[in-house]
Amino acid sequence: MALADDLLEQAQHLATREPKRPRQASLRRAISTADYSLFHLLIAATILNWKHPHQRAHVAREFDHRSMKDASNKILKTEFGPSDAVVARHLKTVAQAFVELQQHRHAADYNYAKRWTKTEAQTDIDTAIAAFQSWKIIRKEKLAQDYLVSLLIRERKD
Amino acid sequence: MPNRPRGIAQPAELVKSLNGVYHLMPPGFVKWNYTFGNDWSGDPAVFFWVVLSDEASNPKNLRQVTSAIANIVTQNVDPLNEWGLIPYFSFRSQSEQAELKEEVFD
Repeated sequence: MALADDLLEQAQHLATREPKRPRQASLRRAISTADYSLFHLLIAATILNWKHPHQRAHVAREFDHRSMKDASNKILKTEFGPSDAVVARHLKTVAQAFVELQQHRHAADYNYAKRWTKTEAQTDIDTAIAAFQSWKIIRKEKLAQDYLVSLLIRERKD
Repeated sequence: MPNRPRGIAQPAELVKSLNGVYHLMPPGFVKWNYTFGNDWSGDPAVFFWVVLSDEASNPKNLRQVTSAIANIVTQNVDPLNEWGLIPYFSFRSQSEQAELKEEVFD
């Protein structure tokens, strides 16, 4: 998970590199990088399940942002049973973070009118950190592994 | 044709529900505004624009306060499941808002 961890560390660096008057470029890149850290954490976790290492990079290119968002929202809409309560709570933390960070990244990357603040950037970094922590706890659980598959597979509309 | 989300069909009811949780907000919460619209992929959403005290916005306190606010909204209003709207939160400090004066936070 080295790339994901490095991206998260880089997001924190960007958010705090100008403590007094942060540049908009730094804050925008911090927000965008926080999102990509979680994106890559989940992609890396998924492709590790692919048996043939030489095919993993190809599989990684198949992820689609929209499908990943839909899969995450599906988790947030699911009522899990009491026996899954702890895993479900952590999984929802990850899914909620994915949806929220993705929206903020779009705004940070494409909305020129908006001015960002250090608090907004730090909130997103905290969200990513919480998602990383939750993922570490549940990553081997069945629900978490099912979530990874759902991130990759586009749901049929028919 | 997909059904309109309940939050769009019955906005007054949703506003009433949101106003009902205002008194539950934790210390450090100063005020909020919310707007309805679509997110980056066109899904209906509710955007919360929250101003926090400078103390609550300190990085050592921030996560606790922002989580508490999001949990209050999720547990009591549940925009996604009850109203068909994806909730998105943006937080900034009083000092930051005083400087930027962004209308959506007021």
